[in-house]
Amino acid sequence: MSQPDPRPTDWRAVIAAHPLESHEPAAWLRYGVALSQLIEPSAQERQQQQQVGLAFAHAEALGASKEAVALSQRQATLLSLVEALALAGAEGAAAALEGLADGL
Amino acid sequence: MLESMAKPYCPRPALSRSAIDTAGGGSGEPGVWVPLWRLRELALPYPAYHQLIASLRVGGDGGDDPLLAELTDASAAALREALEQGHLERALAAHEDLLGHVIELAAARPAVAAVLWQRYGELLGQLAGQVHGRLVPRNGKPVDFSLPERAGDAELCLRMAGILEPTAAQPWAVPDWLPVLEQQLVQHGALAWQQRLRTDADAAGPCLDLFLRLAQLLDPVPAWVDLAWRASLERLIEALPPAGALAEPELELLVARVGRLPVVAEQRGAFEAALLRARFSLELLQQGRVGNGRRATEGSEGLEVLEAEWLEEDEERPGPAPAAALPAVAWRPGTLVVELDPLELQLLQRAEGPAEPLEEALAELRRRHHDSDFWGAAAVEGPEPPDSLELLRRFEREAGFYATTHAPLESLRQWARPALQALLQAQVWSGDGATLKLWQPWGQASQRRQPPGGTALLERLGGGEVVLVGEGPEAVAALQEAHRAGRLFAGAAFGLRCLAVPQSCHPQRPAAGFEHSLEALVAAVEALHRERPFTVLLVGGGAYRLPLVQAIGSRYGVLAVALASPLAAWLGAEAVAEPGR
Repeated sequence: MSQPDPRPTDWRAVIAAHPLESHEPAAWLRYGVALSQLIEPSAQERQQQQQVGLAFAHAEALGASKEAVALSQRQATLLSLVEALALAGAEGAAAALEGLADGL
Repeated sequence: MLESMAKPYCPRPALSRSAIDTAGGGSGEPGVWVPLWRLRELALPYPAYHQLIASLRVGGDGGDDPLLAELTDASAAALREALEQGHLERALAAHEDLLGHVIELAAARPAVAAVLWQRYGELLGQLAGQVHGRLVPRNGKPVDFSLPERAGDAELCLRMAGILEPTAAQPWAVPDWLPVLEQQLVQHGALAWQQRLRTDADAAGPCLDLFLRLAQLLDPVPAWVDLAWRASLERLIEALPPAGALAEPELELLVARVGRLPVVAEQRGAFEAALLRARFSLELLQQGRVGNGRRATEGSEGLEVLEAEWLEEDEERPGPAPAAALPAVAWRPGTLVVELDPLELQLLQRAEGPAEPLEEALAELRRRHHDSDFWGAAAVEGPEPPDSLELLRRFEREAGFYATTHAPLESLRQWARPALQALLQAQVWSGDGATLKLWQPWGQASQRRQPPGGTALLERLGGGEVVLVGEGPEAVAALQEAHRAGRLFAGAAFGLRCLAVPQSCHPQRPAAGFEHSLEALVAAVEALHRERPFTVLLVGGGAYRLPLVQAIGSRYGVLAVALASPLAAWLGAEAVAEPGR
């Protein structure tokens, strides 16, 4: 399985470019990460989380290992934390954590 | 004993019932009945006595039992004695026991909860004072934490900070001086950890925690505190292992810590959204689940359909998805099950805040009691949360709350105290994400349950006796008819009695105030229990529901369910409505 590309920033573009007929597990993992970065607090937030879960599920069905799925979920968590840190004005910590997330 | 925390409300039991059960109960072993006073006369050291009573209580029915009161008294007495003797370690251990018992006892005896918390607060104040006196120099001079006698300062302050921070959420009035002690202890500890940070990377976490707490306690936040938490956060992150080796608990702790960062108001919304995304991704990771309960074998066609619907952001989806990863409601006797209601949660948040805005709003409502335009106006909806006046107006108009004229705030408190206690111990659910967010500040994740259907409960009611409170006359008639016709029986048959709540929605005032109507309602339900004990209490919406399930659930050990949705519909409209009607 190929490694995901470096962290994209335009998650909507990643989602738009994702072919739903793809049989590439890595593409579905990246798609799941992208979906996770666009969840917004709302009455539909759990449904949005469900979509993320479904994307990871599909990646696993196509052959992604559980470890690879977990790694993508870890990356999704870290990427959101990087954003939160930056919004809190903790740029130094955000940069340090971003290095960690990118190192996956 | 403690000039007793629980004793004034708890007549000394003649016998330890649990001792009887445990010693003799069915094991074939010979047993003895021992009065509690005789156990006390043994003069066992506190840990042994506490362990003895706790072991006797195992297998008891929990809740409001005399042994819980005994444990509370014993812990309080041990704490007081340790404080008198200056044994901080023993005092901290006794405090830990005491806090757990007070939480349980206050929930079991709402009528005395305020006094219990007040007495607990007095002891906590003494504990904080003693730790402060021992650690923080009176002259305010800097401390050299490298001195051997200062070796324990960092851990002790961290421990005290962990005790003091949650007290703000407890329903007792904090003495004015306690926040000052807390701030000084937190600062002392933060500086101690900061000094340790030079040689110990593991100090970064506690150092960050205490500086972040200090930032919460100081307004405005001094620049040196701001710099210190940033530096310790960077140290913490730099010391993390590579992401692939990052353990989930470590990641969870990091998410929690980031959640405590101070954020300027204009970034708060975006920050909360990013944090929500981090929590959701972490949840998926922790649960090792994929597809939120749906298996990966589901074809991509279904996925495409869901995708298309979600990407149409403006399109309303029919109802929120069930949170399949959550545990199902356990319909056990003695438990509370509560469907969350956003109006109640918003009001409880206000009730925890300063009294003045609430008093003003209650006074305004009284002044406008006859203002039909005011009361008839539609609910104010908008991006900003409604103010106290609007919340209380809706609470009176829709939920039947009404305040006394002489002490309106006390009426609100008579609702808020048991309502909060119910929420703190109940299994809760909501199908609405915004409502869950309102609940998050004081809820524990472990309380959350999947939204249950009424059938799940109906299936378990066979052979039991149910009391239903709070539906309107038409809904009650429909339910009773469905019950008589057997349409409510998902399993075996059960008994059903119905009781209406007092009609107290504005402008009706059936008594002097809400608390009086509540008292009458509780008495009516108790009379039903005396007449024929019931096992399940189902309470519909309105201001009465939470105090009622709290009172009856704790006193009678019944399964008490408080719904926000219309009860008949929840139980299954098709079951309630006559077929073909």
